[in-house]
Amino acid sequence: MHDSSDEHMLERILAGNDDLAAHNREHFDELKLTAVNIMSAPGAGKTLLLEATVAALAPKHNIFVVEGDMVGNLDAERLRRVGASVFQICTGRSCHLDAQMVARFLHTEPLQGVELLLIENVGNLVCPADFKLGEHKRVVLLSVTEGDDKPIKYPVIFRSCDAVVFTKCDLLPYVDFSIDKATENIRVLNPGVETFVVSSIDKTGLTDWNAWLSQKAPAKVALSEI
Amino acid sequence: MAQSILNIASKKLASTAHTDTVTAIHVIIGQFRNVDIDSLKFAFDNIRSMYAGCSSCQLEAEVVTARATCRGCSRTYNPDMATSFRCPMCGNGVGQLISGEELDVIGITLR
Repeated sequence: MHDSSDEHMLERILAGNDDLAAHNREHFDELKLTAVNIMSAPGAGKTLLLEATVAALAPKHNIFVVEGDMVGNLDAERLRRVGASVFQICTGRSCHLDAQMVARFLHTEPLQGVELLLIENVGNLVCPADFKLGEHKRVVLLSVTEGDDKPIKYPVIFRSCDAVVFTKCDLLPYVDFSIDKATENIRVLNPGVETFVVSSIDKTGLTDWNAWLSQKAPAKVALSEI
Repeated sequence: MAQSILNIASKKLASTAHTDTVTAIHVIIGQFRNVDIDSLKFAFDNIRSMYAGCSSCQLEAEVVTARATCRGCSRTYNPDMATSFRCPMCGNGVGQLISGEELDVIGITLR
């Protein structure tokens, strides 16, 4: 009878994904583009925000959108209609994009000249938090219809992001949502986070959001032209 | 994640001189990770037979309590949803997270 023995080790469970994310980042840097991973719960308004963003910035920046959905290409088609170059990743049963999916896209799509790569992740506030893609910036959308306590319920994703965009602010008069309280809840975990309050319908706040994005892109566009 | 854990264990088994089997894989998971241990174990149990030497191994998962320094008073505390992750002494937020973000395989037991 064999005795038991223990083999000690320390290996990150997500090392495979993280290493591939680092590889993706090297590609992004070689291409001199800025990659932004955009995450939110389903229905928070990612695609609508990207429609407005592309419409405003595409005349002056070379923008490419990666659209992540479990099935279908409805959102990709919406973005193409406003002039975006779009690559659709259907994740199937996976509830998030991962570095391997982005790597496959990188090796099949010519991105020379692209300045801003906007990656719309699958609608999910849980798993995308743990799966890096190689992005330079991580953005989380929180719509005012979701509740200002959401950051407390989903601390991991709100702690890990660079910016939070409060969407659907045109609905603020009709919902019980405090931007200040939500911001406070986020800053408990993530004091350095940048925040934007927008409405993709009446265009509130989009100038500041677009300016932040265009500052991230290597080639700047004059704010007066947005 | 279950696949990744089993891949790591299989590779470790292959690198040892043993021709034995893995009876347990030990992982640590921080409280600030989006991992439900029961769901992970369910997935693990359902796929372990596909990995050489791991067909009957158990997943032993230890949760690492989140610990942080308060950015107001610098005390160390356990950020918890019950207090909205604030320091219980002064009410300020997280300064540095000392523990709670672990997601590692720390060992395998062989027989």
